[in-house]
Amino acid sequence: MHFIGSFSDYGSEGGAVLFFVDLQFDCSADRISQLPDDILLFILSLLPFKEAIATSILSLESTKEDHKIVLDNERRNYVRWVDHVIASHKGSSIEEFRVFFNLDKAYEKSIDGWLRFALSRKVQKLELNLTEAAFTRSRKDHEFYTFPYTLMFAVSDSSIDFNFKYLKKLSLNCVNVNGEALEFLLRQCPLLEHLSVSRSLDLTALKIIGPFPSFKRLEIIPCHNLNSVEIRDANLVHLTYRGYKIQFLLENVPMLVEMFIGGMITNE
Amino acid sequence: MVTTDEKGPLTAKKKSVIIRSCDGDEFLVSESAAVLSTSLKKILEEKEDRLIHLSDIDNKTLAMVIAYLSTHADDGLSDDLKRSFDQEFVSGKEFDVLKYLVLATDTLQVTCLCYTVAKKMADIMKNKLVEWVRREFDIQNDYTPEAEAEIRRLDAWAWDDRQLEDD
Repeated sequence: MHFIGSFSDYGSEGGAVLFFVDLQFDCSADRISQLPDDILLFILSLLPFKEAIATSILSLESTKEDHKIVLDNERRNYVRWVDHVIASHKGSSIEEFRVFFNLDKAYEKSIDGWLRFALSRKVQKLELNLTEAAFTRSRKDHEFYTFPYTLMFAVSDSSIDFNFKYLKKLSLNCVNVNGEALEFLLRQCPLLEHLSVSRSLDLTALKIIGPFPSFKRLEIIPCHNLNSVEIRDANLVHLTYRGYKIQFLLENVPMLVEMFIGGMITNE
Repeated sequence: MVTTDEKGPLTAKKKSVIIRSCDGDEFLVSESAAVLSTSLKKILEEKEDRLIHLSDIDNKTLAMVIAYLSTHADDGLSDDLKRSFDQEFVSGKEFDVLKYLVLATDTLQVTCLCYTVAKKMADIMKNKLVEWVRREFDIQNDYTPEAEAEIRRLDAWAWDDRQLEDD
């Protein structure tokens, strides 16, 4: 019987742990060497990205087949790493899924797969940030990744693969998504509270016609082709718009307490 | 021998729990410390029993976890002191010991300690050879030599300044 009392007298010497060192250790017969995959993966996820890449060749098991896309190394490595992590994930739910990397349409298949994965794991916060560094912008308009809502629409009836029910926050940067897709998402995600869209070239008009009881916060940060925003009968509380001068229509938005509009020079 | 008898001398003192390791050692722990483990908390909420047997945690690992729980349950200690305790707690420990700890804290759901230990393990793994990591985690290398060479060639940037640390 070991009595472990209060450690109030624990001083700067840090002797508390040493107190136990003399305990006899007799479980040695079944010493572990293998950790469960999810714990191993958790440890690997704490490594810097480069280190994680270096460990990605630990074993082939659960890695997907290599992508044939030959673009620059880092993109390919990133995609492979994410695929690897996803393939190894055993849990049934994910609270937050974030992708933050310079990726374009060439990686559509993988990104589609990641979204499918996240949604099938009841993700609550989803962020897809495919940004380019400001000083090296070279992506052509047609090279932007497009949010695959039609794909989701096609299977949402079966609801086995896709689960929008749990989504509370969606953030898309440098992802093409049009007004129709956003309206669709709002209807499909009853818990969606926070929607943030930036640098979507497809967004020309946005209509939010409520009520969407959970939807509280909308952020639209430069979407250069956006012409109009219409919000009616909604419970929106916070609204942020940055970009060019556009047509704004707000009607019956009684909960709105915070609104920011502006932040960019108009094109005239 | 400790009993769970309500009138027993130990339980009469303060609300406490007895936790038994897989090798039969028993630890008396205050309830305030035990409930910092989500798993133990659930067990205590469900049953009156003051004796909890952990069939997959050995005495040495359990003693360390309990030391952590007791320290963090102590209201007399400042957060700073607890933080420095955490750093002290993982420093200098062998990789094997950390493996037991990470497993135990995962089982007991002591999230903060699990993170601290996993982070320490990740820090130790930095710049280690792949072979070292494979050996420590008992990971079977199922690549063919050709496939591995190819991946090493493609991802050369990840290894190029890797020190040849192997111990």
